[in-house]
Amino acid sequence: MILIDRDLAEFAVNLATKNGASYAEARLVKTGEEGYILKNGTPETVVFSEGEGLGIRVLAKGGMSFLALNKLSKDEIKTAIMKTIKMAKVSAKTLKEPIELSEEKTVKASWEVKPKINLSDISAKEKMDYLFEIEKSLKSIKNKLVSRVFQLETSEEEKYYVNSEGTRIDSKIPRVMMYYSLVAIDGNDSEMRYFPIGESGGWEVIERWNLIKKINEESKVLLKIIKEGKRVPKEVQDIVLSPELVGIAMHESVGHPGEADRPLGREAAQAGETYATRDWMGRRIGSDFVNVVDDPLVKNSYGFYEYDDEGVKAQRRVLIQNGILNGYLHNRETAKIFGIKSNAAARASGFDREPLIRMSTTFFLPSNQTFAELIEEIKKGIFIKSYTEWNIDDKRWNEKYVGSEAYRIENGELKELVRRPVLELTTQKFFSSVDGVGNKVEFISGSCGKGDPMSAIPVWMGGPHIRLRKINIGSA
Amino acid sequence: MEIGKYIVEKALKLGADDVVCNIKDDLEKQVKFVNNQVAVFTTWNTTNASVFLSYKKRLVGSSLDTPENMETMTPLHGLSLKKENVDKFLEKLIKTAKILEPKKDYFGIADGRFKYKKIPDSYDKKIEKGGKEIDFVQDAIDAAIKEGAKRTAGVLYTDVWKNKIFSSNGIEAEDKGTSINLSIRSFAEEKDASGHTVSVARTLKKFEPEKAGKESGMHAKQSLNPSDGYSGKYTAILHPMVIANILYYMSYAFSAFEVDSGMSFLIGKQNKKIANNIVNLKDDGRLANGFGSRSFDDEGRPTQATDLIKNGVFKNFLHNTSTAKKFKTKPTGNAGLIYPQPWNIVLEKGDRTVDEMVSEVKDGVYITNVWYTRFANYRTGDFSTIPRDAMFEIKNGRITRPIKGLRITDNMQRILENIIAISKNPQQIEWWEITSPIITGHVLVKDLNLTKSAK
Repeated sequence: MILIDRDLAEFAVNLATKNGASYAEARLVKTGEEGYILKNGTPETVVFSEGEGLGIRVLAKGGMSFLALNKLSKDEIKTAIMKTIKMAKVSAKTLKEPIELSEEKTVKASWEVKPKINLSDISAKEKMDYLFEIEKSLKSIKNKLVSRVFQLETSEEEKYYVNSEGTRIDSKIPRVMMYYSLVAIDGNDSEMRYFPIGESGGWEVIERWNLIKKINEESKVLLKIIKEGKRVPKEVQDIVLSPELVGIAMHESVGHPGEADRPLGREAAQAGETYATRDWMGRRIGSDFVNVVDDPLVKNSYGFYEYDDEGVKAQRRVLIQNGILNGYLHNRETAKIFGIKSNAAARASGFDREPLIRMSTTFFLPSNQTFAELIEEIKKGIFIKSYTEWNIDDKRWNEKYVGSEAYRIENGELKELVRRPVLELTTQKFFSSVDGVGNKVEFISGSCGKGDPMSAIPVWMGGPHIRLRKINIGSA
Repeated sequence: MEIGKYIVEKALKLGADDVVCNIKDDLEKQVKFVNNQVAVFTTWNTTNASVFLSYKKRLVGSSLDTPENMETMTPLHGLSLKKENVDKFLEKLIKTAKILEPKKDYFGIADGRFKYKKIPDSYDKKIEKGGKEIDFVQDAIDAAIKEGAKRTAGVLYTDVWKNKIFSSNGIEAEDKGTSINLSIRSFAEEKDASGHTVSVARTLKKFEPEKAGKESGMHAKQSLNPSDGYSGKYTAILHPMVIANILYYMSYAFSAFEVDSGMSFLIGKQNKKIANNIVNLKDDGRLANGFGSRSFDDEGRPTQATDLIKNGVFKNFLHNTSTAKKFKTKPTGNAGLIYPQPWNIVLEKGDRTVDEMVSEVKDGVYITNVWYTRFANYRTGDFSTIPRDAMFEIKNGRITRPIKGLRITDNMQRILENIIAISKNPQQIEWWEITSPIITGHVLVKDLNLTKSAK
């Protein structure tokens, strides 16, 4: 792909500043995306999308306005920018304080994630054949799997970012994402598994994932859960959570509440606010074992970036340190309010979305215990390896994870499968109960939702196995 | 020649059997407000084209309505729709189609020259003219504050769109519409006291920003100082924001796509009782003032009203032409070429007022909003969702105290079976959590299962 209209971004920013904008930025984004679905052995429509558009943000008289258009002529851009500056000024009249941005270094940079195998070198047939290969591998248990949906998405995104302060950044990133959902059935009983997996990179990631093995194993486990999984009464026991569970919990109960626009109310009518209000910073939320970071620079990560969508250099952010709430994810607007520098968390999911404070890879830092060591001291407990339903309230305080593959632990040993154990607890209870941390981090992927209109953005989340003591848990 | 018509003819020349091209012009504006002030004013000015084509049952397309996880795919925008770009793109689509495996259960697109009737209350010149967006927001904020809110946040959207469709079966049609919708959340002094309501309309005369602001402010004020609720099974009054959320997440199960994929909890239940007798649910693509109303679906078939549940009995799945042929039934005008989808889901109104409902409850709750609905198993409909904003305990026919910290953990069909009353004043609900409109009143549900977190 070549960004054919690169100068249009420059044109837009110059035009805005000449016509009353105190600050202007433009992102010219070109994307190529493909989507494949194989549903119970039948291929669905293969979807190709190509697009290019311009997202422009301006500050004028302290008001902010955002414009997205894909009619990429100078005349169209000019007309739209004049209107958008006017609306920024009108908006400013409602403000008690003008919107300002933190001062940041101007940057001239270029970065890209280079694929080992270009996505465009793999034909549509080969991509669909990969899904057929997964389907064929399930032949022996197909009649018990009433739902087998495999979905592959690839994308390549090129971006040119320019702002009125002199920053210019080129970037290029390919990504691969797979989703699968399975429903196993036995008589009138059934269980479901849904799993997303994504990375930044080319077709080489498919080999690394080894999904055929994973999907086959999980399908067999689903059937086994129906046949053998025992419901257990709710009682206080110790639990061990897998990296998959730890990942979703870090994303939901540390990453989201750590977005600095939440305590300021900017997402109040959508994704909500946060338990981690400004006076909570420096407070203890968990045991000394708890250390959680968000890091855009994790290699191959699905949410990888070197500069954010405000041109600020990416960096690791420590959200919880030794159980103490340490800081937020910031963009330039919140950083200015907090009197600090941005830590580069502004991300836009496309040219047509304003950059918002978003996570990248949020994970629990590892310590030194093996899985065997984590369970060996447990007399009575449950190990949850994967989950199905989950949710959390909009302050990120009351959360729930329903186990899919889960086992009873007795005297340090894994025993039989347990059916749908429900972990329903507060964030403080979760983190205060941690007393053991594994030594190996694994990641899962997600499309994180935030913003209005919804802006889904690629992220990773993860951690090692962790142990929580004395949790009230039982089957749904 | 119209570019859409050109696309269809060119694709046919390249060997396609069926072709559909939708071209949509959109001018959307948004006022996002936070802490009673405008945080950002956004304008989207876009033209998008989507193409679907089949070549010997091999299907390719761009920007089609697809399952949830593919919603983020960008359409064929930015190509300026120039002839040479379009030619290149279509050649790529056909070339790809030729090497794919066929979709054996594909049975074509809508065939015929249809007549499209105008939908009442679907377009308003005043919305197109614009200019009062920030005033409407201010009206809503003022109304909320008057009721006791200290701060508010939300969005106001206006949208003006024009959609043209061209298909290889001779369909050439055009539709246009406007909409205006406000979502406002109010907060009272205490951090857990909030209320959230919406006003959703296609014309200004049906748009009620002050009413929405007033109710959200009132709920915020009434829910000051909430205390913990108790888990258990309760008779519950569900505000339209709540039952709309449940019906929205339930609506996937009505799509023929989900039957095919084995994920719907309604598989095998056609013409069987799945709800209490008083439950009548339909999808109506032609509803006056319906936020999702449109003259034709994504293959050009006129939209219609389709019974989903009649007197508690499940009647129909939602279909496009191809899925209907596969299911040996009639199309319902709900294409999505991949994923048949609802336009406006309507729960038929009942005979009660909300006050009458409250007076009937001995030991129960009134829930005014939920979010984060997720399924443990789509096939069975087991799910949970979390109340946010005002929630109240009801004892002996009276609201006694605001409560917090509960979660609805139940099953879709069980809730339908347990609906014992519906109010007589439906509202149209659409917002960030519910992106396809639901028209519903309050409902009274017995034995709703509520759980809570361990502290």
